[in-house]
Amino acid sequence: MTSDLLGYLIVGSVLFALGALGFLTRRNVIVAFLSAEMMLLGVTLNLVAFSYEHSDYQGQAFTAIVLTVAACEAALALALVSALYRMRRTLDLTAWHELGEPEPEAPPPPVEEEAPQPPQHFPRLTPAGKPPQTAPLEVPQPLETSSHV
Amino acid sequence: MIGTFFMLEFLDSITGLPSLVGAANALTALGEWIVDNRALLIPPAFGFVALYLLLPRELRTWRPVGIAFGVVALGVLGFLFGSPATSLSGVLFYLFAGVAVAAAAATVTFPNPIYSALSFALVTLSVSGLFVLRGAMFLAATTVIIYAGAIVVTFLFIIMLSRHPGNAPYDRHAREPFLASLAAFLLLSVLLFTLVDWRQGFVPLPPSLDPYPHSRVLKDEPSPLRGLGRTFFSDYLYIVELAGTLLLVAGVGAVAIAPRRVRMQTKPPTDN
Repeated sequence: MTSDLLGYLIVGSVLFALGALGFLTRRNVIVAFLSAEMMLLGVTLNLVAFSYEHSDYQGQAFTAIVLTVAACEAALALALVSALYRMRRTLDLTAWHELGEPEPEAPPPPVEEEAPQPPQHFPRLTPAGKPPQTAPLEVPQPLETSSHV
Repeated sequence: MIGTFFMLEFLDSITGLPSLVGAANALTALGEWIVDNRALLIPPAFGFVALYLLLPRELRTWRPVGIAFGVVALGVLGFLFGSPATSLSGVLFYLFAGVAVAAAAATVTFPNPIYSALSFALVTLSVSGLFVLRGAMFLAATTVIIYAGAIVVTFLFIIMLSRHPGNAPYDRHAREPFLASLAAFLLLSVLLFTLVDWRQGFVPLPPSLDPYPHSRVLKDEPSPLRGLGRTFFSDYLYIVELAGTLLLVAGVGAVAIAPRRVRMQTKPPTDN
């Protein structure tokens, strides 16, 4: 293996390892996705180096297909990230750690019915601008006088 | 060393545990193996320390130390595997490779996601330079257009639309930095050992058995682009059409998954 090829393969390996580290570690969805794309870059570098070594275009053709798949993956990841951000308002991966639905809560214990209480009248707050609701006034009836004019 | 061995034998005969001697043997063998291969293990080990110090955590004062460790790791790697740069392509290779690796480490370790995206664009440009050095001009241009031109710009917009003032709490702390750095160290060590141990040469395929006969580089190839076009439209035609279909499907899927704009409902008039 020539020293040139070894150099390219080592750069590809380092890019792949760094991409794997970033994908595992970072909590931001965007940075994790960029690290995944960096892994693809390392692999394409390997492919192109081997294509040059073998004097063959197959490596370059495969790289073009890898680029196509990366573009599709980016479009779908963008759509998913938009949808997920709508729900939780955060780009944090750890917000989606538990994908299952919450456990169904145990039904509350049956409440013993209390004795019916007499209807209570509570004071009510008046909306602004309206005269307050008060208890109906007992209007004293005018006495029937004989001298009514 | 020998005294420990006999002591362990004595302990085994008393307690009846045969695994102590086996474990001691394994540990000594591992230590000897590490000492024998220390030259190859130094770059991943230094890289491990560098990444562990550089990953976003609250200790900001260790970043220059981490950078120093990373530079030493790259230097030892270049010294072990590289040949002195005598020609322009050699100098360019070291330039592009160094910038690519440094920008890749920056992408992974910057707390600010916008700096991460910009570093990723720099990685893409460096890798495109390496593509040009290996005769893949079309791929270099395509990589720049798709990665740095489309993906990075789109994600910069997404990051801009969902920014926290200052750095978000999920950007300031990395998850499990020690374990992740250890995993990256092991991965890189395995890859380096595989590359070094690979001593056999290539076995060229006889032309009669070649499944893709039109993909070879011809002796008087006018340009690599013509050769790549010939490959795409003769040997890889089916795959190119499939790639087009994949793009169509992905486009439809992205439109289907992305959230629609919510129509604002007109509020009913309140009674006053």
